[in-house]
Amino acid sequence: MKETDENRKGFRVPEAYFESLDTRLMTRLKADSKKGLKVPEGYFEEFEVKPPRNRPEVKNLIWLAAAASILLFFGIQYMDTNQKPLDWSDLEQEEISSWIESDLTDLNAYDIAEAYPEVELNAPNLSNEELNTYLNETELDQILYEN
Amino acid sequence: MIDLEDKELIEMLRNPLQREEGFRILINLYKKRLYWHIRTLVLLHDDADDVLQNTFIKIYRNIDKFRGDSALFTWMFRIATNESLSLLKTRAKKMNQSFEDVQEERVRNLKSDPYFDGDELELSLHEAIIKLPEKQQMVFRMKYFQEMKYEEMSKILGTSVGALKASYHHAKKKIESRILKNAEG
Repeated sequence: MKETDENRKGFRVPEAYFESLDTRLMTRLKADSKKGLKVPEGYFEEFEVKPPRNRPEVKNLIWLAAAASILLFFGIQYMDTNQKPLDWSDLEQEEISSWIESDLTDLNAYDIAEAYPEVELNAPNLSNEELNTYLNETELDQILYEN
Repeated sequence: MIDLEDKELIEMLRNPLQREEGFRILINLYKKRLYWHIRTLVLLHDDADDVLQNTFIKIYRNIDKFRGDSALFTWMFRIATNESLSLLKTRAKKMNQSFEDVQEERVRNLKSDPYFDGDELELSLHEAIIKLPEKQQMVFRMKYFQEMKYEEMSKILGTSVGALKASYHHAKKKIESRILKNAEG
């Protein structure tokens, strides 16, 4: 078979493939720009995954993080070094309802720490073992509904 | 480094008022050369079409970064090569296979590609090419399928003409020997 631009050494292209290429590409470019979702120039080229800071023993800390995030979220406005330590009983029913309604249940300690960089989270006065035991025996949903 | 035609084209692409027209000209000037380069790397038409489109989109979006240290075609050719190899490597990673395994699978699938009419000898040629080291594969493909001159290959690959000639010679010998062996066996 005679070689042409459409047929080379056993390879060929669909009929009129090259003729329609520019139109298809322009359509794609316009469709991309119409989506309205853009990223900054060079974003993907420079994209890198930032490793989480100080995240040892993630498996053990996951419950601790969840509990800490709840306490921190509700307690953030009351945090004052002169006040007594924060307790579950300090939470008002209304605040909990508002927290759930605001879809904030997916927040984790890292999200909150990002939002409040100036706040230092002090480790609760509980050993990891005690906290794990408590959390393992208590459904998180129950904690929310009981308060 | 940039010839006048390329220079005018780049200016059009960088000018928002002429960008679209410039892009159409660019596509129509280079689409066939880039396509055939990509096709000989990825083998299957559908993948070649995807890679070609991605290549042109990247060219369009990154034209401001083109410094003119090389000819426009050389720059585009490198983007096309990178996109083609990325596609193969991504597929390899997704399927948890090696790059070589993915290439072998592609040659096997060539038979069922509706846009491949090659005979047994041509299939045997592709089987032999993928057994070569990566650089020799590239040199052989550019010379055999695209009939590219050594001087142009030298600019694109950054390798001396002498080294390219030697590489092509070795590749050709290995391919001949493998095809003969297959025919005898």
